[in-house]
Amino acid sequence: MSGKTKSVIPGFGLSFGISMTILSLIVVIPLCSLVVYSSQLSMADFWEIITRPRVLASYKVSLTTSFIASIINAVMGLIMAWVLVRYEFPGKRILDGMIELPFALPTAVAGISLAHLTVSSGPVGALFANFGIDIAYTYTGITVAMVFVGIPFVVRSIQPVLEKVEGEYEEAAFIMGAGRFETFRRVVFPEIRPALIAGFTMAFARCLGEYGSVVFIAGNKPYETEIAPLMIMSELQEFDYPAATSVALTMLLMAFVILFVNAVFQSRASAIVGGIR
Amino acid sequence: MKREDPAIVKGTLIGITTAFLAVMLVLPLVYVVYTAFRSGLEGFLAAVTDKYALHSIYLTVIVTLMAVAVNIVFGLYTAWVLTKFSFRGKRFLSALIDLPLTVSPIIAGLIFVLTFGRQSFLYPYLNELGIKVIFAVPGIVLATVFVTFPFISREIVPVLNAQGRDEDEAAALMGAGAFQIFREITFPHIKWAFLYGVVLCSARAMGEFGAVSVLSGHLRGKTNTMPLYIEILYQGYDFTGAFAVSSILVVMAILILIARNILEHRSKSRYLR
Amino acid sequence: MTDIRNSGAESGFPDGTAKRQPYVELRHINKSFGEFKASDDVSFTVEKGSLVGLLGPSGSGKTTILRILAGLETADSGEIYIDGKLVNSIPASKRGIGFVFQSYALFRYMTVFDNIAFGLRTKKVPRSEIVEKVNGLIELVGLAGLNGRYPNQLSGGQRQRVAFARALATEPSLLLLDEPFAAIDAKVRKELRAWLKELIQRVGITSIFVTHDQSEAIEVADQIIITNHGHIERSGSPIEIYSNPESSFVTKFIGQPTVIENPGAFKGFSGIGNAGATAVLRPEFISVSRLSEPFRYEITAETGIVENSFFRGGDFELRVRVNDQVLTVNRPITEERILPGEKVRIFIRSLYLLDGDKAVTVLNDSLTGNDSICI
Repeated sequence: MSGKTKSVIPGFGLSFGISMTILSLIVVIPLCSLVVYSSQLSMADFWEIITRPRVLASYKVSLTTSFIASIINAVMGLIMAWVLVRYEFPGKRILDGMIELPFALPTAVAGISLAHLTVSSGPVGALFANFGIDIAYTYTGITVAMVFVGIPFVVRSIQPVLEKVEGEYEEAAFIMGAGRFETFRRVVFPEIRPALIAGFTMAFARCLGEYGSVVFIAGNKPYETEIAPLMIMSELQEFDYPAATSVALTMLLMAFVILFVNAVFQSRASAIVGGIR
Repeated sequence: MKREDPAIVKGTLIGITTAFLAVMLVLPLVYVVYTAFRSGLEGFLAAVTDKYALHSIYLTVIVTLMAVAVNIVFGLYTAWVLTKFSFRGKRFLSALIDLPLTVSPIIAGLIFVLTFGRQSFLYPYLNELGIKVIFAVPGIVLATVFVTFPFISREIVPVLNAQGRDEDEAAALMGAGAFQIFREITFPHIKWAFLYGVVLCSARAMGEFGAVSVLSGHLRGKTNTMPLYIEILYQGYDFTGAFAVSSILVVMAILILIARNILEHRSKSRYLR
Repeated sequence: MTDIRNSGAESGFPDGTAKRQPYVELRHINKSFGEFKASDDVSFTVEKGSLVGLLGPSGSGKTTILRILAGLETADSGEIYIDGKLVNSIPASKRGIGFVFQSYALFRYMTVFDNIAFGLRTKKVPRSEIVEKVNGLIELVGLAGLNGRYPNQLSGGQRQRVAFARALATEPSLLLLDEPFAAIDAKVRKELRAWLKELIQRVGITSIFVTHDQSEAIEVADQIIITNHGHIERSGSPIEIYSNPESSFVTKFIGQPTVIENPGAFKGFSGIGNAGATAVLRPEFISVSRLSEPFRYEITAETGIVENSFFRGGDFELRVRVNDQVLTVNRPITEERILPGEKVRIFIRSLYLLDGDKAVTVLNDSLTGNDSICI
């Protein structure tokens, strides 16, 4: 590579070569084939596909449930991070160690377990059915599955920041006479806000793309509880590649917009605060 | 002096956390094991020793091993390149490596279908050579490598960045080669982070569902990994079977969590010294 | 710089000299990092066996010079000679250089012994020889008994000793040290300076070290090279540089400088005249006394008011307002203490008049016999 500044550390050529080869085979070429394939679609066809009522309905399902689930995760994540950083209590280490379970547990396993629990004949579903509430096969069910998937993101992004804010900083505000809630609102919260937003957007992006844990609980009724990834899946099963690709491109675009918004937020936050470190 | 929140606030928040985690995480986990054994030990054993179940376990192990192997090679070399050298396009490269994290698993599957499927320009050549990628094991492996792609390098890169390049430069000045530097200076430093990455990577590889689902073509007994086999059982209303096979994955998940916590603890305490 | 081109051929080097061959020579080195020019036409020579300090403020390009010399960076243009050989294309590990990093860069997963032995192992030196050599070095740097320790079990000073021993292990002909004392606390730093200087003299190795601390450079080095904005400002022995800084930058950098405006307004310097001039004063150029004390330079003395007085351990540092400018003066602790608000007499013996990039020493008229001031 021409732009490399010469280094005394050996091994650049070989390492760079191996990295680039694997990267090309696994990521670049397949992604390019998506681009190449979609360039063969006409704009009119593309537009027709992504505005089909059933497809639009699936976006709505995905966006709504992902958003609600991420909000729930943001609130719960904040509380959990606070509890895990600030308090000492028996069993804390176990709770802390459990947070990553959604990463470790295969999504399909989580999916069938949540679905089987919440169908009207399942133990939790039966409980709620008494009050006339259905969980499985509704927005609620999809949201529950997405909350499960999104748990680690917010907690793990706030925790390290909260650990650094602890101590002198807050004491200083306290000494200056700020009340407990006031201190949190004006001193602690602004510090963790960028991490909260980062966690929220990561969870949001993940929920949008989530498939395994959602399909079982969603019921997958067209126009009602069909999520966008499932839309792609069913197009694929009908070998309708143009349709699958169009929906996929739209979803990728949504994910990038979400990540871009987050990046803007983060850079603005670090411009103001200069970051904690 | 640390300021304590009032007992009522503390109690409430701990209560909320515990209840939330119990309902959202523990309950589904326990429920899997409970359902797996509801029809007795025999039912469980019959389900997991079924010919198709054993084959799915075998395939999962193979796919996981292959994906982890590719990612180990990639992760180590990439982390080395990204942290020890400055070159143009480095930020782009590192963004490209993280890209699979933001792509839905279904889309991950789709791109391999487009690359190797019937409509691809590669298809005739592959067909002639008798190589089947999609709806076959190679496709599953590729998709799994894709979704787990950044896992190992992401764990190592921050550790190496924190270490800096001084030690490597010192060694290079004394005439050490790349392999010697890596073995004697770099690897001892990243050991725990590396193992941690391997654990994360295995966890995800073993459990990947969406991408693999697109590429498997669901040939029962042929290209079913455990998650796919679970889906088939569940949709065939064989709940005991589905949950029995799931419980194996639950046990694996718990082991992975324990390993993760030990490794994280190790790498932290090592790093702080 | 001596022109080494037209000299005797018996040295064996195509362009070398027989006698005054500089051991290290940099010629017109340029190096940029993007927009930033880290080395701007850097040329200097170093005699064999000397201990050279590269001194400059941070960002002045001193570390870059050291790294280019070591081969850790590549110059954009220019030539580097070590022992008469052009080494530009010789890889860092073959230049015969020992390098001590600012962070020491000790291998943290290796013991003291293994750290020092690393270079020898790479060179495939027989095991028994390595053991003998490393133990000798450990003895030399005064770390006997610590062979099995890991770097994080050592103090800052001990780490520096290990780094030093490691750099010497492969018997380099040139030792480069990047801010060797920066990571050590003040008290130990003093001791280590003396130790390092003595050891380098004992080993007899040509050494170049980088520092931003002038007292360090003045105390340790035989020769000081001052860098500023990527170029060499001044080179010479510590005493030459201190007493005759020559350039405006060095004058404002070395010693304990106070910059004053319009020096012509001070008694004894009316010859300067020019109202726009700028000058640099050092505390040692100024005498101070109470009005009640006898004073030698009665006629050319200024009166000033003490604004502040700081006790600094060995002496008092006074800030005195004279002619609407604040001067810094030192007064020995053996004299009576002068408190803020007191009127004092001030005599300025000399100053450095800044003239563009140059600095000229101007003596007080009463010392040169020019009595234009006496009416």
